[in-house]
Amino acid sequence: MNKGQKKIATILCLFTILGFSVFLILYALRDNVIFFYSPSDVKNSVLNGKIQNNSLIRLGGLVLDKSFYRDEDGIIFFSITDNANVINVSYSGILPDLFREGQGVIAEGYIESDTKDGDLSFRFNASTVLAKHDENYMPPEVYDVLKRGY
Amino acid sequence: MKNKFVNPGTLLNFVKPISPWLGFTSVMLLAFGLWLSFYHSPIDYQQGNAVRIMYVHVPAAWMSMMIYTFMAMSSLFGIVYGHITAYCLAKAAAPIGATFTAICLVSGSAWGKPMWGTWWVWDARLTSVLVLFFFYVGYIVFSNSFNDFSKGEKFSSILSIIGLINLPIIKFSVDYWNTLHQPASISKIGAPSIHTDMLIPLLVMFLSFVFIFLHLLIIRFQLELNNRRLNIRNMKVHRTG
Repeated sequence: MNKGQKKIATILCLFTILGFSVFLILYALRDNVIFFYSPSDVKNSVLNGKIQNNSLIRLGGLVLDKSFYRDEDGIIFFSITDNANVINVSYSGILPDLFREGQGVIAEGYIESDTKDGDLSFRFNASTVLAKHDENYMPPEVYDVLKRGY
Repeated sequence: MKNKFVNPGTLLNFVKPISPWLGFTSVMLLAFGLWLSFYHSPIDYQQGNAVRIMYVHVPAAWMSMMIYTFMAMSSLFGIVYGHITAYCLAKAAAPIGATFTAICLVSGSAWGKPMWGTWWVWDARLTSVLVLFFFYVGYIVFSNSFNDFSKGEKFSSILSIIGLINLPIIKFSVDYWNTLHQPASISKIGAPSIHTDMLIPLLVMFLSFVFIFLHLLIIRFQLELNNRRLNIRNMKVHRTG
């Protein structure tokens, strides 16, 4: 091996080791790197004690269809679902423009769990609600055509 | 590695006449791309007019990662073969890449406020792009912080190669972790999930950015070469004086 090849080999070795260690670090931190929990994650985490009652978390999922209403005091109620589990959310504040039923949202707030008659139920008091949008971009006319097509 | 373009002078003589044409093409494409983005592209079914921020945000994000790859590869060549051309190309690319990263972050923030409801969140995608920006800044600072500039070149090159690890993290952050940022539209398996009328302005803007990068790269390459000459002369003066 000449000098250049030796250098390349050294750099490749070090880079591989570094890459592997970064992978291990991120793998170990995977629970911290995720930005939000889905309703199913919350259920599992509460069951195995990873999430304490009344702890501050972010909950993400779709706004359940026909779950949105506003009471006389202006408090907003809706449910977040991942199509497996549903968690009811209450919130008072301004909703982002993209908020609607069926839309992906992320709510930050406190989770309260209740065990009544052996059934685990949750209430979520949100202090912030963020809207997610998907990776599909199209004009409204195209969306209408697609919707009619299905 | 015997290639005549390894000689910085030969390379400069070759690319310098192309440079104004690259700049001209870029401005033309930019004008066309901006006209397309603002007047000749449809609104989005969900985001309305705010989708137009994408035509700056997404090409800038692509550029930031492409330029970083270019910079790190040049640095690698510099370290391995000691070519002046490679070091100077890497140094020339760094501030341009940092600017594109900054454009990406600022336009993304301006897009996030009306759509998501927040300027900034610490999710995996946003954080890893911020780390990319810090790698650029670190490279620039590092390469200028040694009295002996060749030492600065070596250390900053090592830093930029280390930063390569960040690129796949940025790319796959939206797939591996739950993030607020949506996954990729163009590079996903199957058809791109973006309508053709929106894809065209996006690609025109991207081409314009590529040309402006090449144009600026050539100008800055010459500057870095002159800088280097000046540094060498200063060192000689110090040694003899």
